[in-house]
Amino acid sequence: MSNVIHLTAAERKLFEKIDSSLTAEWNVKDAVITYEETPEKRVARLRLLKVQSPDLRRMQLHAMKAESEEKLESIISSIDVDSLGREDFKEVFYALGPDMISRMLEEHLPKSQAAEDIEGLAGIAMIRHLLFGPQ
Amino acid sequence: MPIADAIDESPNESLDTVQTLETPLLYSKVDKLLAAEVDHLREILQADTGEQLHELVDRITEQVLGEQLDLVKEIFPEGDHQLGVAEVVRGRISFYQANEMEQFHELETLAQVQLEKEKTMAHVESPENKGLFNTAYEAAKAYVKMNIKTIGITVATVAVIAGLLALGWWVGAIPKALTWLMSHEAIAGAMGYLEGAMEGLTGVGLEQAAEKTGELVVEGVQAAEGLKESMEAAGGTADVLEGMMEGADALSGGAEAVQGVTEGVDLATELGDAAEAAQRLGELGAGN
Repeated sequence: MSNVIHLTAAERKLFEKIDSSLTAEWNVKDAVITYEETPEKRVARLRLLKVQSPDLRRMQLHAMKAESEEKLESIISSIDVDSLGREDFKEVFYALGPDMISRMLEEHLPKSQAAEDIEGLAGIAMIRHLLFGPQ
Repeated sequence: MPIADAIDESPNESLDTVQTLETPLLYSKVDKLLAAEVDHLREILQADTGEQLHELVDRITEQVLGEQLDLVKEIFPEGDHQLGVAEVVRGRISFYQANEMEQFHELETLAQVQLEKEKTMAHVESPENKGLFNTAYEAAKAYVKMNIKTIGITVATVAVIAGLLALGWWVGAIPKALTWLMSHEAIAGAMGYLEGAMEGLTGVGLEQAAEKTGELVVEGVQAAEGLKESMEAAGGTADVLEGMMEGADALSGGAEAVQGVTEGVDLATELGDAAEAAQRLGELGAGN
């Protein structure tokens, strides 16, 4: 992965507080989010989300029959992220939208303790850039 | 109530208005319409492309109108519903055009977002971006796996809840599930987003759409009832017209009678002439 990380001004401040040994090789670029978020569009994106993973679809059916919150918790917690393929991942992050992804980044940047953390968060930031940035 | 007044009335009345009609048959029909409308929305949500979505919305709009017409036909059970149907169709079309019903506005938003999504996905899959996304996906997926109790749960929850909605899960049950999710400190912040989204869903979701349809039905019923009243009021005029028609029939009969008399006279004259001729023949014969 190229060493580019697209961050908002608030995220950049959080990034700058991370141990420089983890961030020194990263080229921070301003995140430009051109997508106009509205509550109606957020709902519409959730409604239009379509997952392909057979495991996930089967899990949705199980969740539908969950008779208690504990059962629902158990079902959701047991989801294997590996069952989310490339297309599903793209769909889910599109449904999340730019605001939710930004909140994820703001929550997790201060917790970064390893190079893999920065790489993962840069990946999430890149997904946001591709989905909701200039097109 | 004049039909124009019925159409101009605010649609923001509750479904209770239907009950005041005290027409069990209509009420059961309304129930069926509401259930059908939920099915319509589910069908619309199965669209794979923006174009398909637009086609479905157009077709189902016509279908909903047709179902409302069936309802109107029940209000005019004696076969004299043609005028009522025509007026209500005209009224309903004006209503849709003039008021931009929220329900259809929501569908338009859905169609717009679907088109945006298609454009975005094409952008991501373009040759210059596909590789970038693939790399980002691998890195992000690894991070999500490492943080399954936070981001992982969020991602999975979004996938499951959206799936439940698509499968027709009871919308009202979802905020309850989110209450549980919010109790998990690790994901509480992230879930704030979902809670907001779900508030939106319960606000403009299937139940709301169904209620809107109910309001539409109330409007249609009111319009039809108003028209029926107008037609009943016109009944007196119709009675007078009927009397006039009977009078005309009587006059017509009289004219026929007069004509018959005239023809009878003519015939009698002819017969008289014939009798006279016969008499003359007889006299001539006697003379011979």
